[in-house]
Amino acid sequence: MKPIRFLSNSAQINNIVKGLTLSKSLFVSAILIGEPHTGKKTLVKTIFPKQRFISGKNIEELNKALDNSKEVIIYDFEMIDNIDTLNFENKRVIAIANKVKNSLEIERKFAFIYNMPPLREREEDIELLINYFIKDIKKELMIDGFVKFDYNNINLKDNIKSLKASVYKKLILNNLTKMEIEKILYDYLYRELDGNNGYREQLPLFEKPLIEAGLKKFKSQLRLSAVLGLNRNTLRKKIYELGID
Amino acid sequence: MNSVLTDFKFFIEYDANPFVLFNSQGKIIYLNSSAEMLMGSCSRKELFNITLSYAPKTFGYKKSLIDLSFGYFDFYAINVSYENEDEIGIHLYNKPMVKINNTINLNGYCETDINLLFEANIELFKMQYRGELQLITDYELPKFYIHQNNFSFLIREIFKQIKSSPTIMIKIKIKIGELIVVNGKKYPIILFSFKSEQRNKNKDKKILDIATNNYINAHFNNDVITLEIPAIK
Repeated sequence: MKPIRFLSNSAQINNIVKGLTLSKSLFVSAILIGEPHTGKKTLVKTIFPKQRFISGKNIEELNKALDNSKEVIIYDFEMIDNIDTLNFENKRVIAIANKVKNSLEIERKFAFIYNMPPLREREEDIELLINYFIKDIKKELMIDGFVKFDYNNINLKDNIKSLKASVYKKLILNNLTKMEIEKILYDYLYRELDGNNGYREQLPLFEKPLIEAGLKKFKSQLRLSAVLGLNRNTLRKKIYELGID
Repeated sequence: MNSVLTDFKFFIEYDANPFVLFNSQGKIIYLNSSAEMLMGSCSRKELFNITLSYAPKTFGYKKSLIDLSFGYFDFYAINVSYENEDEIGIHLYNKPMVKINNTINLNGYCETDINLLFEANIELFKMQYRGELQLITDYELPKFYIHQNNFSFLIREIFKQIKSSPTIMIKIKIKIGELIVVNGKKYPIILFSFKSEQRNKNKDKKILDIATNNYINAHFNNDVITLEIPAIK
């Protein structure tokens, strides 16, 4: 089995790791709260690799574990309706929650409350994770050698999950060969081509990115018309027809 | 009754009320076991001065109803007596105690390295505290029994009270010369002091309640909170 790794250069995360590591030899209750996909579960798994994780959705199993075990790790803690009924006495309980319904209840139940910062507040982790995902994806997709990667417009809305999806998409799109682009277009056109005006309907598929990329690269319609070998008026007309801003 | 001839020293020795016998120079000739503990919180000179101030004018005894506090010892009356020029004794009468240490319930207590437990609390606090925090501790402190979760709740409340202070100085040490009796056994006292420039005194009551429920004595000064924890083995 692949060992679990938690990657972070964030000072705040390091403090959480230190605190949770210290609690390994203590009988205290701790909770880690943070947005979904910030790495909470992975972090706890790294510190407590052999511990059984129980979902807060399964209250019956959870109560049984609390009755029979000295150490319990609970994830989806926010799914538990009445936390006052849970017996944490004389146990090491580590809980993981995406949000808090009642902060006073949480304060009463947990001596240690850690807040996991979202990825957008951990700038030092973004590049670290991107580089890790690139390495991983290169291996998975059997991409050899140097890959181009555009660090702009990374999606952090869903933290690590959307970051990973962004890296996947960007890496694939940035590294397609001419033949692969043709193949993609072939498959698309094979699926979509229909009716009696197909040529005109599908032409923007080529023309729009061509003109958009050209305008960005040459920053002038005059220069672009020369590069494309088109009349200036024809280019302006196409920009208008294609709705390019 | 007054004609019974017996050695009363045994009964005095184990009286819950402290008794101290001074010579004419203020040197302690005898003190019972309760007074031994009291001497950790007040000085010999201070107690001798009180003895002289409340002594009867001639040989005999004088009872005075006065409120006296030394550390966590509170008294409501004293009795000063002497029958010759060489010895004078003072008996201090304990105020009724709210908590009873001799019926401590140790359910949930486990043997703990207090420095390790406190370090975990400090790490959590450091995540939200931007001031200067100094910790002076004795890493040789013995392990003892404590309710780790409840102790951490107490520390969290104290930190909440002092988190606006630009500097915090914490000292942890064993209290020399004083013991605490729990379930009939004497144990050392571990002393925590939290010194800060500012603190929210509204939380004193909450801190005191948590401490009392966990057999810990909490004292509050303007800038210092002190905890006295029995090092139960």
